[in-house]
Amino acid sequence: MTTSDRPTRDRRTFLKATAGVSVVGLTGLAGCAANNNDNGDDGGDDGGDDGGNDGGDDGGKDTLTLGGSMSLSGDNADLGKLYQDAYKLTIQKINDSGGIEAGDGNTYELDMILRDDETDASKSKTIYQDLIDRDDVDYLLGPYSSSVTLPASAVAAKNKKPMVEGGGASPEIFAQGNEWIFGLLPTANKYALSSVDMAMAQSSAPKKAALLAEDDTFSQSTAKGVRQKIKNTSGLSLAVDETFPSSTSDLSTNLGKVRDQGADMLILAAHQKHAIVMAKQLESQNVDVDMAMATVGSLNQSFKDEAKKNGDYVYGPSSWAINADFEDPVYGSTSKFADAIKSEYGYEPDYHSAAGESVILTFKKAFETVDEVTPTKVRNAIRDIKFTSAYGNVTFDDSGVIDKKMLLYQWQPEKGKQIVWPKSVQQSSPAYPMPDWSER
Amino acid sequence: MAIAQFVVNGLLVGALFAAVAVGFALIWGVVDIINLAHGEMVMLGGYVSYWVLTFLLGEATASPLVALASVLVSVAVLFGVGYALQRALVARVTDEDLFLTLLVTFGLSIVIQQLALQAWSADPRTVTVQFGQQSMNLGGVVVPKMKLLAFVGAIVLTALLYVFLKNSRTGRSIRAVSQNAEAAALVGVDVEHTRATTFGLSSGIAGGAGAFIAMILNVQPQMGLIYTLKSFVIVVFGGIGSVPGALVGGLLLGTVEELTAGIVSSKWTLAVSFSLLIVLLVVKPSGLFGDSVEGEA
Repeated sequence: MTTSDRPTRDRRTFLKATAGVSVVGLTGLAGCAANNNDNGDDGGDDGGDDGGNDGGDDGGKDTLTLGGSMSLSGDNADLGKLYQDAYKLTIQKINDSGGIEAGDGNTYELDMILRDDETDASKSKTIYQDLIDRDDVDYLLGPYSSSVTLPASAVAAKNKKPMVEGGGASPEIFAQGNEWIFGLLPTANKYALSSVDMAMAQSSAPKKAALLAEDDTFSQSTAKGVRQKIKNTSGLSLAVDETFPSSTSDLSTNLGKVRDQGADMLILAAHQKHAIVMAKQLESQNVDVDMAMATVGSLNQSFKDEAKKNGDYVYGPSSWAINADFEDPVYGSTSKFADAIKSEYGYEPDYHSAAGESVILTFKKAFETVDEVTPTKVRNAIRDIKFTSAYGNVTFDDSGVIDKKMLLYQWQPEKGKQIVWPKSVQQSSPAYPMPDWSER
Repeated sequence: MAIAQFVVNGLLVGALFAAVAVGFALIWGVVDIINLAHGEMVMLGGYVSYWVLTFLLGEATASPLVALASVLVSVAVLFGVGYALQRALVARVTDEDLFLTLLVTFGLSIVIQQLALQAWSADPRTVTVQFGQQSMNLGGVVVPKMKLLAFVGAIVLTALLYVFLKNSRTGRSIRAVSQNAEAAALVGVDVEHTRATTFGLSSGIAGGAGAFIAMILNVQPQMGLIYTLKSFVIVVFGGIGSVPGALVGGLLLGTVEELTAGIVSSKWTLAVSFSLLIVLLVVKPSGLFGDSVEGEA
């Protein structure tokens, strides 16, 4: 019989090996989980005090270690890489220029442990607990995305370690009474507000808006801000308000609603893959709106590369203007930071990169300020911090969020990506309204 | 009119679901493997189309005919990938405990995802197909031309598979192995080769569907899971191993999802689909086109 021709020993050996590896793997994972749970409990009781008091001694040899998890694989790996690159290059530059002269009189080099959380909140939590318990990390770099940052910030609070993040923008992160988390992105509810301001300032202002929102934490926070803004804007109503699962890849039916309701402006609160689908399907579903914006991913070059001409006229928010040249303590200025990223990694940095750079600079500035390098003193220093970087002015409000407004960019056919709002930093006037598909 | 639009949207996307699920049903029915890496075959098919066009034309933008040719390349390449995977890996756990086959195909899906991520990054990629007008209006119903082309392509792929299984010598071998592998071997059928061919066909048709998905939506390394899940639902709807069942199941799922999205809300689509699955499992466990369990007993 054909099936029995194969030597059974090979199969048995293979099966045993597979089963063995699986058992070992699962046992190992279970063991790790158990250890983490144990350490997690201990860390909660002991780590808080010990870490707070001994952090300076432990980390005070010559190196201060910053640790965190990041989306280095998974759906957000493309954005996670921007943070990783910015962290690495900034730390390298600081160390190359002699390190940090801390307020306690010592000079420290920075070290970084950054582990892949695969954009998985539970993995991220485990990584942070592990960094604190096993690697004695006292200063935490936040992960990417609100869904991952929220539970990670709880680990920071439980263990009393300051966490500075540039990748989580949900207001929920900062509404927990957590005194150990600091965010460099304006909260998600502010992301789309400048687009409404811009549209309402036009001579043919929109009357009907449509909101399509992904069902993740960040996008829902963005959508909440949009609903509130439209409610408070006279002359503008919300004609379509739809939430769709992250796994949905086809927006046809929802875009059909936008068309049928005659909406003038479309706000897509979602990530890059949906932004590309929106750009393609606006045309294939024959949807003509005066403005279309996507909250995340629509400003990346990869969005424009894939959406091609359909990406023209699409808007996107950013917390950073690459053309606003601020002084920077490590690179010299915003433009020099942009040049350094481009020369090292071959791409133009966006606000994720700039926020990542300022995460490192926030710790640097805090270390320089404190008279003793401990988590509590560093946390207190960050609360009062005030400095300028390539990212702009950095200072935090009482809840730990940076005091910053979003700018609005637009892809324009001739000029490329342009800042169009607010007027004070405008590179070009908005191309508003978008031309109908039949006119393109 | 809105209802008609939702139904058309559902049928257009449902045909693609069906083409993906047909391969899943085939491999489940013949090799008795629930292939958790099936969605990754869809993803790889999308990337094959994208990279073939990029390599040949400089960018993934093509006329409809050239785009269709890239679908055929995806089918051929993924047939080879599926054949090789069955021969090299899956054959070793065929006939073994279900848990082991799930573990192996799940591991395979993770490996393929990670390799794709390393090779092509997480950036979504899309193939642009050039039409004078992207859509047409049929009595007030907007029909995107690319979706219509993908609909026809998916139906043709499914129909070709059905005809192949019914009429070709290899197709008869596949059906024989699905009914009784040992008896098929006794009458001279090369069971291992037939199973590998089945896996190849399953992956090939998934790859073709993936190429169409790259043209309508986009492809990403992590996109596979949802297609595996949808395939599972469709196969249970239609009946394990049934090609017509998978086709009807796919069209039905697409229509139900789009009607739910249109009339209620998109956020309820998954809940409604899986509720229907539960109801069907209770009322007709063998699926719409599957053999009755009681009848066989």
